[in-house]
Parts: sequence; structure tokens; C-alpha cells
Amino acid sequence: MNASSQFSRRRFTAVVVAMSVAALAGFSAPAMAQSKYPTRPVTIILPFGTGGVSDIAARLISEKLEDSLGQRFLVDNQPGAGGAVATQKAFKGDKEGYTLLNMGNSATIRRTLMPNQKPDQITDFQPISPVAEFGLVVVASPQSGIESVQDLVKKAKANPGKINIGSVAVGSTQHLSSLLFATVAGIKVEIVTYNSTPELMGAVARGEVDVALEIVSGAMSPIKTKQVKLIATTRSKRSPVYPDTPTVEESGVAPFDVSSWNSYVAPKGVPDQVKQKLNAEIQRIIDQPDIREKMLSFGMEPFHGGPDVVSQRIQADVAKWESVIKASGMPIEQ
Amino acid sequence: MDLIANPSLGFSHALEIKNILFCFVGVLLGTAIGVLPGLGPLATISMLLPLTYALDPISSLIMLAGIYYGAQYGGSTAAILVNLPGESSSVVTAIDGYKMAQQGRAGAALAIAALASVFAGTVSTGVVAAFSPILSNVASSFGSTEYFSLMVLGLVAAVILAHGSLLKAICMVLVGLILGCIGVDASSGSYRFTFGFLELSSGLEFVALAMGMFAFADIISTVAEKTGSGPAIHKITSLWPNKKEFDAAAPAAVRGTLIGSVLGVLPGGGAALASFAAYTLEKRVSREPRKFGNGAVEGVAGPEAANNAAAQTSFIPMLTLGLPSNGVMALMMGAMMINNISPGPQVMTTNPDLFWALIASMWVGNVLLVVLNLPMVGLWVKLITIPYKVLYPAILMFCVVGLYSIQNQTFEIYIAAIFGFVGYLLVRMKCEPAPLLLGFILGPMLEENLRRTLQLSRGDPWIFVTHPISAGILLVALALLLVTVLPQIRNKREEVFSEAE
Repeated sequence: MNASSQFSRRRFTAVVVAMSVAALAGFSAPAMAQSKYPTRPVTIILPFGTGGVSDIAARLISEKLEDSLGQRFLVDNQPGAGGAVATQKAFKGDKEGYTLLNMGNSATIRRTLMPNQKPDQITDFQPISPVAEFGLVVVASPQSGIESVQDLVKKAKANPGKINIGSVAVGSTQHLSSLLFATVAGIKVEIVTYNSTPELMGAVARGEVDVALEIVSGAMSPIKTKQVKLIATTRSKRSPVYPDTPTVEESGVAPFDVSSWNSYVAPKGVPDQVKQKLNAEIQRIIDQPDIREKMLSFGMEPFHGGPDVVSQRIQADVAKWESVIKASGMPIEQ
Repeated sequence: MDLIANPSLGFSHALEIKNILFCFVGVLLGTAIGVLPGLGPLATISMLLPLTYALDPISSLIMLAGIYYGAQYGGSTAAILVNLPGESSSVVTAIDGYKMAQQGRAGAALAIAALASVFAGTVSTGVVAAFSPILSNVASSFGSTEYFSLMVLGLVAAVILAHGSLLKAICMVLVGLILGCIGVDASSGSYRFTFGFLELSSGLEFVALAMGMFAFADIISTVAEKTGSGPAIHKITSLWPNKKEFDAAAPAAVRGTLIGSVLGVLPGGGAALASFAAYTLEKRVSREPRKFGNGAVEGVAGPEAANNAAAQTSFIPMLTLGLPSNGVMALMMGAMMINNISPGPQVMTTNPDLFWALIASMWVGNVLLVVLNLPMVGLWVKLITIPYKVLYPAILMFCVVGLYSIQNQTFEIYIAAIFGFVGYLLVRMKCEPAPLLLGFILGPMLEENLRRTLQLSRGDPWIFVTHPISAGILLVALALLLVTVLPQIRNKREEVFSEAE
């Protein structure tokens, strides 16, 4: 009897405590929700299909985010229309930080090429965190006899309009970098486009084109097997993947600092606390030795900084590519 | 010595219980998705790609490869029994295979398809192992100039392949070429015929087009013609071909294997082109071309052997050069990269276990496929006894799931619906959709290679004739065209087709 009443009193107390805790929690719900973020699965939308290096990087990072934040981080591949499909889907997502979009350098090019495209990754989204940065490489065909950027420039000046530079799709980072290279070096060349990186590398290996500018990851395997010859890297500082290879600038073509990058952005309206939490986590993860090593193995370097770094980078790249596009006379979609 | 050491290294991995199991899962899935119209190996492999993060690279590649060549087996079953090619590579199998089924030889057609596939699979496994370095050299020497000429040959073949009116076939190829123009123009970056649809900027989705033209259109015409009754079920009197059929099928399977092995290595070639080419070849070498379209055994054995051989040899450029010859190979490359293996010639030296295990597993997989297919043909037949009102909604559902899974978008479903209607109209007008599809596939490659070649030659069109390989291919195309258009032969051809109908 005695025991039983004691028990029920204890139970009563427990219920009261639980209720008041619940009430408290309900009372301060908005604040709690933010500091508790994430309370449900987060979707990272990628504007490309499965299997590429950026996809692999996103999956590596999302796995780590799941471990540290305790929620599912779903990677949602939405390829098509040069990223517009993914952008539209992300734009329709929530604004609480549960929908992230992988934004790349290509958005800064589209800003000029397709100025009226809505929603726009730059104006309709806000940066959350930089993720990865990857330089390009200049490779030459073994048949061309070109051993360095100096050789290339000399040969192009001696034979104006005779050199073929291979590139992937018109309006890609690779294509605009080729245009920029020709302008800065003051040479006249023909830029020949290919459908995909493997096709482009095959064309360089066969000697169909003399040189090509390509993202590191796409050129790593043909460089390793000596099908193509690596002659320079495109950033101002040397590439951590190829520290013994000179940069384009060191080879006398300056100013030339080109790299591609990935950042996570979200539809505007994400609370500051959520933004900071995600930024801090992602920055911590990209510096973890295993992730860093894996990303480096396919030519990606960690891209450090806060959301402001992304904003600055966007501004700088929009300006850079705008001048290249305007000078080249490429068609602009209205 | 390596000739023995390498395959035995491969078999030591491929015959591990775990890997046999993954191989089995792969070929079983492959057969199933091959039978079901709509879900293709591309969709299935991309859906399973995330699995490779958890599995070790050898097991996952063995499984994914099994899906691809397993699908070539399964595709023929649906083509023969219901005239619904499960895969684009089984389109031609449906022509004569379905006719055989209508003549009461469904069992024989299925057995011939399976046996021809096994034969081709076994031979091409040997081809992959023995001729990897040699064959990849052939493909790697092809430049834009040679590819343009190859595409021209492909289009000429598409016209010759068609039944009935030559004019209609040419029109269909041209419609295909126009449809292939949709999307971003590779040379200037501007949008063509997208009508403001962002989804169209990367072009019409092939799977949606093919599924609409074949699966959807076929369902509409069946529903329009018959009411209530189930699909034409053809009694399977014997699973085994008779001696006459076997004698006709055997040399066709050998020819199909040869042509498939060669075409599989060429980028952009692959299983579909191989089966088209093999069918054309069989028609050419046959003493009685009028049998074709009318239940010719060779029309089943040749293409089936060819698509299987091509499915396997298309691994050669991917494994030896790092050049994927088609979408499936691109996904396989992705699976390797997930596991930190960069595809290319070095795979043979840095990961010999993976390279040879994959090749050995193809042979293991072919043996598994015989076990899976021949005794279970009865089971696939049961699938067909399901009445229309159950089967067709189910097929449509699988198609729709498959269409949605291509890009996780409903847009492809609408495209397939539109082309289902268009395809139905074309059937009513006696226009064949196959040349249209080939035009659609080859058109963009033709254009790109043409423009690229002219860019490289600075506008000089003679480059196509001065390059010897290109000139040779163009000559073959011209000869084929002349043979078809010459009045004497043309009359004969039309006679043949009118009798066939």
C-alpha cells in the first residue's frame, strides 16, 4: 500500500516534470529548432549525374555530415539544362537549411551567357559554405612536340591560326579558359570542342588537337599513362597534385589564375545560426585527413572560408568571365 | 605464359563464392529488367551505383557488368514473345522473333536467342581477354573524320534495314535527324528547338523517345485493334529448335558474334548498332532474303549474338583506354572512380586482379545466364499469359517508373506519352520507327564530327576522302546505297517486301 502510493506519487511528479519540459520546449520552439538543426533529413541537390568527381566529393562530405549532425544528408542528382533543373528544384525547396544546392563556377559563366534565366543561382540563393576548389591543367599531345607553355606560344606565333586547342562544351570553364589563355598570350588559335572529357583526352592523345585545357581530375589518368603531356597548371600557385609542374603564369603568360570550384548555397532565408553551423561543419570535414586525401586524389583541394568568401569569389569570377565572353562574341541567350 | 596466368588470376577471384553470388544477382536483375520494357541497364545501374560505396570494387563491378550483358538476354525474350523490345538492342530481334512466335515457334526462337547469346558471350569473353590491346588500338586511331564516315555508313544501313517503302525509310531517318537537333548546339552553345523547355536543352531523352515509339505506341495499337482479349499467346510446342533451324542459326550466330565484337569496341557503337548491323548482314548473305521479316531464324540468331558480343567487347575501350563507348560504360567508369581506380591503360598493370576478374566473371555470368534463361523460359512465358488488362497497366507502370528514374523528372514521361501517340500514327501510316531512332542516335554524332572535322581542316571537305580509313568507309556506304537504289535491285527489293507483308 505504502509502496504503491509512493510509486504513484513518483509517477505523478514525473508526469508533471515531463509536461513542463514539453511546455517549455514548445514555448521556445523557434530558438530550439535552430540550435537543434537538423531535426529532419537534409537534401543536397547536385546539378550533375552520379559518378563524377564532384558527385563523389558531395557523397563523401554528406556521409561525414550524417555522422556529426545525426541526420540523413541525401544527395539528389538533378542533371540537365546546364544546372537549371537542379536550380529550379532547389529554389522550390525549404528555406530553413534543409535544401542545399551545389553551386559551381559555371553559374558565374551563365550569369553572362543567360542573363535572364530564373531562378538565378547568384541572386536567388545565398552562400552557405565553400567546399572544394580544383585547378585546370594544360596538356599537350605527344605528336605536337610542345613541351611547355613557352613552346606553345612560340609555335602559335610562328603559325598564326594553325594551332588547335581542344575543349569541352562551349561556355564551359575549360572553353572560356582556353579563350582567356589565347587572349593573354596574344596568340591566334582555333578552339575545337568535344562532347566529353574522355573524347577530348582521346583527341589530344591522337594528336587531333595540339593542346587542351581540362579540369585536373579528367586529365589525371591520361597524364599518368603518358598519353598526353602535362605542360602547366592554371592557378597562380602550384597544384598540390603536380607540385613539380610550372604554372601558366610562371611560364610567362600572365595574369592567368583560373580554377573551378564547388560551394553549397541555399534558397534565401536560411537562419544565420543554421548557416554558421553548416559552414563550420563543412569546413571541419574538408580538412579531415581522410577526406582531404581522397579529394586530392582526384585533384580537388579544400576551399576554405565563410559564406562571404563564396560571395567574393562569385563577384570576381562573374567579372572575369563576362569580359572573356564579351570579347569572344559568343551568343548570349535572351 | 601470361595467356594462362592472367585468366587464372581472374578466375581465382571470379570463382569466389561471394563474387559468384554478386554475378548471379547482376545477371538475374539484368534479365529481369531486360524482359521488362522500360527499365534499362542504364537506369538500373545508375540506381545501384550508390551500392558500390559499400561493396569492394571487384564485386560491385562484376554485379554492374552482369546487369548490362544480362539485359541483352532478357531483352530478346520480351521482343520475341510480345513484340515489345525490352532494350533498344532487341528492336531487330522483334522483327523475326515475333513472327516466329506467331508461327508457333516461340520456344525455338527463345532457345535460339539464348544459345546464340551464350555462344557470343563465351567467344567475346575470349576476345576481350586476347585482343584487348589490339582492338583498342583500332578504336583509338579513329578521329573525327573517321567517325563522320562511320555515321554516314550507319545511316545508310538504317535505310536499307527498313521494310517497305524506301522513300518512307529515308523520311523516317530525316525526321530522326531533326529530332536529334534538339538541344544545345555543341559548336556554338546556342539553344535549338527547345521551345523554352529547359528539360530539352540537353536534347530529347533517347529512352523516352524509344519507349514512346515502341512500348507506348504498341500498347495503343493493340488496344485499338483488339478488345478485351489477352495478347496473342503462341503455344510453345517445343523449346528446342529443329535441325533445320539449328543449321540456319549456327552460322548466323558466328557472323553476329564477329560483327558484334568489332562494333562493340567502337565508341558510340555498342549493342544496339551491332544488332542492326548483324540483321542487315544476315539479310545480305541469305540465299532467301524474303524470309526476313517473316520469321527467319537467322534474323534472331545474328542480332542476338551481335548485341551480346558488343555488350561485352564495349568494355575494351573503357578498360584499356578509359574511353567509355556508351552511357553504361560511363557509369561503370564512375563506379571504378568511386573506388579510387582511375580507368585507363594502367588498370591492367595496377589492378590486374580487377581487370581479369571482371573478364572472367563475364564468362561465369554467361554460364549462369544459360541456367537462368533456358529452364526459366517457361516462367517468362507465364508472364505473357497474364491478361492485357493486368499486363499492360503493369508494363506502363514499369515504363513510367523507368522514365522517371532517368532524371527524377516527370518531363520524360510526357515526352514518352507524346511519342507514343506519334508512334501509333506512324504505324498506321506504315512508317517504321526504327530508322527514325537510328537517325536520332547517329544524327548528333554525325553533325558534331562533321563540324569538328571541318574546323580541324579549316573548311576543306576533301579531308573525308584523303584520309584512307574514312575514304574506305564512305566507299562501302556508297556501294550499299547504289545496290539499294539501282532500279533492278530496287524492284526486286520491293517485291520481296510486298510478299513479306
